[in-house]
Amino acid sequence: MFVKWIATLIVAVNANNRAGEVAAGISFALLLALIPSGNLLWIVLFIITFLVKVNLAGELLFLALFKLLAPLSDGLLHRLGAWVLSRPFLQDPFTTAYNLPLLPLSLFNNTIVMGGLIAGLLFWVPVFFLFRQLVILYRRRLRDKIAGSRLVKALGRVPLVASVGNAVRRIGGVYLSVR
Amino acid sequence: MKVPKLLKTELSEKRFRKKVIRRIYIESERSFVLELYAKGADGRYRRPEQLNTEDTRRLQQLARSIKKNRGVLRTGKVSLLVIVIAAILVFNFVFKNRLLERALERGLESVFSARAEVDDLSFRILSGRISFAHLSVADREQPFRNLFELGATEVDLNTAELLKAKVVVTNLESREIGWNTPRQTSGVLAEDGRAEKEVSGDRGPRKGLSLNLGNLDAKALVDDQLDKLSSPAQISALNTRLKTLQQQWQLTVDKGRRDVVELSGRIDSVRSTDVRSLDTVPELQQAVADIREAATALGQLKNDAQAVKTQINAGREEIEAARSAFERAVDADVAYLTSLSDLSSGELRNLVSDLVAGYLEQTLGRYYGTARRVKGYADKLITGAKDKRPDKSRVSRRKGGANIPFATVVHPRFLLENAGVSVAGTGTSRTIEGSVQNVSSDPDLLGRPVTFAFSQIEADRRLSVDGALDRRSNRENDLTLGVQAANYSIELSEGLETLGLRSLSTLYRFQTDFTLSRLGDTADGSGVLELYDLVLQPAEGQDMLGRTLYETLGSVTTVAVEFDYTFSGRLSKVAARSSIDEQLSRALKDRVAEIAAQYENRLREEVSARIEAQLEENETLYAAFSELEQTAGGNLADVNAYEAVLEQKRSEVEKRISDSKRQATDAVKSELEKQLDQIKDKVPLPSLGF
Repeated sequence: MFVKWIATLIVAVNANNRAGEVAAGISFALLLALIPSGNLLWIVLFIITFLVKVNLAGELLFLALFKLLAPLSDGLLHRLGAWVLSRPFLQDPFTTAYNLPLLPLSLFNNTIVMGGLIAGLLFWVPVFFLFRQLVILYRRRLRDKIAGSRLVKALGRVPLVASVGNAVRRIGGVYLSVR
Repeated sequence: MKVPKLLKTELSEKRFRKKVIRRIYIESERSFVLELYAKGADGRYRRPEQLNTEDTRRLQQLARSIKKNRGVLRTGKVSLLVIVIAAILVFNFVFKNRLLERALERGLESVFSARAEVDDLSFRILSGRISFAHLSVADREQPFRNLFELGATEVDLNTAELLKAKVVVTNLESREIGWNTPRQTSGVLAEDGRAEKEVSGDRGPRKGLSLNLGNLDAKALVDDQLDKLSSPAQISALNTRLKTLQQQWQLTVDKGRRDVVELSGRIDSVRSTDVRSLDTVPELQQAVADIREAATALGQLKNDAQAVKTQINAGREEIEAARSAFERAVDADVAYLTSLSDLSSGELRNLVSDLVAGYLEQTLGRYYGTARRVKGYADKLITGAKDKRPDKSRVSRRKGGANIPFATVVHPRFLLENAGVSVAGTGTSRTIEGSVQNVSSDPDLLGRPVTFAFSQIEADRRLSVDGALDRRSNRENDLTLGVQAANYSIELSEGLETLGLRSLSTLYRFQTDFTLSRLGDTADGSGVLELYDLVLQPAEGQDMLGRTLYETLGSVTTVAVEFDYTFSGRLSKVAARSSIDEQLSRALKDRVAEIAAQYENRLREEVSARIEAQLEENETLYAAFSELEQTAGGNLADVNAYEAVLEQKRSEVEKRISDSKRQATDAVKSELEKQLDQIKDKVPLPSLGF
């Protein structure tokens, strides 16, 4: 599974698609990792990432990685969420939201969920631009050099990577142009 | 191999820049395209028409990636989402109502344990409104009757709560309601193994009133209480004692008889002695000896006879005392049996109360049964632990977080806030109004009991029922119910024979407060039944009781009966007090005494019948004992007679001796005087020794 995601991410980084797709995938991965799963908010965000053009392999790969690290931040997220949820001027909107249909299923009143959402949204933009820039730099400075390298050529001939690439191309329409 | 249309031979600069170059993110690919297309003098970009295979394939791949880089949405997956939404809409239009109809039927069947049918259900999601043309729920106890059915009904749902998987009915309105209506098909559920008890038709006829006079079965009462009666044991003991005495004295008395008979010969011999014929001294000495001997034997016999007589007399006194005790025991037994019977002045004093109590016992018993069934339905509705699942179980597995509570109204999984039915009769004067509130699957969460009210007005008849069904854990009572009725009629024609009445009809006003206790399924309450416009038809051959009752009831315009009742399981107790109890008591006083006396005689006869054999045996034994006593007395009398005979003979002999002595003395004296003169003092005279 991870090999597929890694291979597909490499393919995506080298393919003719927007650098922002990979960056958005990683940003969403961070957001989804910070928000505890098992609530409507997480599910909706996850579905959204399936509907918009983000790099799913990168998202899933980094989601798995971030999920391992997310519990370390629970203390901070709890404090952040508790602070937000206890703001007096937000009590009315939160109370209204809590009484709306479906919204309570998002568990926004959970401190870690709220903290994860706030932190995820705050980090989403810088992470997006950071990884977008990294992909652009890679493509501009390293891609052609690496593409010509024996490693990448060998990787492209690995049946597993080839089949994953084909599958991703069929499902996600990711352009494969590893040469 | 063709080059895609996107990268055709000639492109405008705007299109080339915007649609092609801008969407190529790989530097080498962009350079390849820029090298391939050359800008002409007219500003348009052109490439060679003929390309080699490698360039053509590269352009094909490039065109494909450019197409895919358009937009930010994944059209395929969005399309899938659209299809899903379309499927939901199709479901909404085609299957939703059918599935919901089935779900509602299943839900009702699980609550009422009987078949339920819903027709023409329509669910409008956005407005949160369900409507159906007809709903019927069968009666589990009577499969061919409906517990209730509703006509055209509209149900308003809280859609917000529906999205939380909670069914909150804010209002239910029905324009037609019926209960205990006949069904064409059985209402038994397929999985219900119970047999179908009733085929169709009405309930059985109402039983007659239970009046205690009708229960005065002396024979059954004596049979039932025979073990507790003392008279049978006493008569048996008496007979045993009689037998013992009989056996004890029969031989003695017989022996005494024989001795008397035997002595009678000697006595007769003494009696037959002609004392005057006894002239000589030896004859007189013999007679004296015979009398003395007979007297000795007679004295012994007399002592024995007297002793026997004394002891038999003691035995007789004992028997007489035992017979008296037995008679008292019979009286006590009859008194005991009389006390057990319902026939007493107090019982008859409450004749009207008892009459009403019998009617109320049936009527209130049905209320009690219905209340228990309703309680059972409510219990089935309560889901218990399902509602109490904490939100935390749905939260992430990650620790450290906390749920901040915000003010909200938490509804149970099912809540019927208000249901109302209003049936205004068309063509009739009947009007029905009913409502029920706060039916929920979690009464503790709701914090309110189920309340209901029902009223029916038909012509001048009014019936209203209101109450509260409480299933909260901190409740005091399961059910409180108030029932008021006015201008209803009672017509009775059965069970009145023992009262000397053929029929009774009356209008009544009725009011009761009924409470079903939380503990032990015990129901109790009190109320007032006011009877007016009484119409009585006397029975043919009306007896005194019937006449008294007829006249007393006919003399009043209103009879008010206050009653208290208790139901527990199958046991019921209704105590009623009517306003004419005292009046009827006075009127019935003589009749009571007569009936009581008759009944007491019947009881005495029944008790006597049970010990008839012992009584007959007692009479026989008693007669035999009396005979024995007479025999003993006869013996003593005979002895006394013999004694008199001997005494007489003794006197006669003594007189004879005295006479003989005097004669002899005189003769001797004369002779002696004569001879003395001759031989003075030479001849001694014999001494007779008397």
